[in-house]
Amino acid sequence: MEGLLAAVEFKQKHPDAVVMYRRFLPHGSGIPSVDLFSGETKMGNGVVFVSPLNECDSYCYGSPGEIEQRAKFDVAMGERCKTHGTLYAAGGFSMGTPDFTNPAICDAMRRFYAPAYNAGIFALNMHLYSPNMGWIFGRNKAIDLTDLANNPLDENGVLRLPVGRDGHIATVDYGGERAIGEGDQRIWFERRWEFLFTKCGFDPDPRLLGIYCDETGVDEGGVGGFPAHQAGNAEVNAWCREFIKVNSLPLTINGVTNSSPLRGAAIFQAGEKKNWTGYNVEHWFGEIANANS
Amino acid sequence: MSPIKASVINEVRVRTLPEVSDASWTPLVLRAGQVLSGEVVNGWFVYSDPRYVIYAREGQRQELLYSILQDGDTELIRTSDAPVPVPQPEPMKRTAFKLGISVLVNHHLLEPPIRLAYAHS
Repeated sequence: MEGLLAAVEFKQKHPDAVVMYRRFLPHGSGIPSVDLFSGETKMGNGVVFVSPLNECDSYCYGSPGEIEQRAKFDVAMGERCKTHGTLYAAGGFSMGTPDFTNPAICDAMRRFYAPAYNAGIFALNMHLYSPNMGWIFGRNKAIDLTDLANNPLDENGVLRLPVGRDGHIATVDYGGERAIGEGDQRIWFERRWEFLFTKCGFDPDPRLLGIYCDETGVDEGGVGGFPAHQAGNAEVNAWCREFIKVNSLPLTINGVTNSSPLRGAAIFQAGEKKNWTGYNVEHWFGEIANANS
Repeated sequence: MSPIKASVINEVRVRTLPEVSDASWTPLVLRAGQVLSGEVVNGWFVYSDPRYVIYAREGQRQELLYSILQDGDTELIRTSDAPVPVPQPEPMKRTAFKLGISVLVNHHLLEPPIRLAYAHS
């Protein structure tokens, strides 16, 4: 509750800032009752309440059935938030997911998430980490694709890539029109939200609530974030500038161009120096602020 | 009766019953310019549309949805194939999104980054 009040107070003090609040749930706790979030749904004041179903911590989304159950929770949360004037960002999907290379997953997103997004019930929250320091700049060789023994392609040419600290599987279409090396590989990580609109029935109308990202930065499996890469000030600043640039590009579908739906993004993390030291960016507040100018 | 097309003229609420009441209220609205198929019953447009997902308290999907055709003298839904003006989307502009910081637990760290952001803006 302390964090909830801090979020509201901060937003009241800085009304032009995008403020996202997420409540931690114990891992493996499943889908909770909507009633558990009576305080959060009533935050109002323009604070964005991002789904407490963070990544696969509590409940995953690897099958259409799981997506349906997760969406039911998110729709109920979105409706309740909307009633109280709070903006809810559903989803909470990990980097490199959901598996948009799988038609069954796209179909489930279209059936269970798109209707509520298109009706303005909720925004969507996705984690948009880069899988390494080079990916966002188009350096496809930053992932050693010669080592395919550990990253085999499936029969559809999809690369299943262990990413992030938890080693979950991201999917990248290695052989399709968005293939690595074609110059737009960033759609698989930093701009993965685009598939929602091109494949999953999401309406690109800029009047809708858009996309939020409560976690981004670099998250390389087995390594970590910027500190774990011993990144310099200039590298962090360059990554931030590129992330903003990539996600500010308009969204064009069938010749119709709309502005980017991304409303706000936050680099993970500041404030924690024990378990997440390899991601701590407190040293680079200036570089991050400067990238926004 | 075969379905007829309807065009939304002015924003109108999606309801679960053909009545204006708290019991029929949903947070969904139809936006001006939308076209949908359904039937007219006693001044209401009755339709089923996969874009509008509503679950009853029991968890079952609410299949039939209702929107009122007229509010006093204001036409909300026009049940004809006549073209209606479609609202123009806002002019495309560069996204104003900002890249910020995710702060865990130590809320005092919220303030320094935004002060730096103001300084750079």
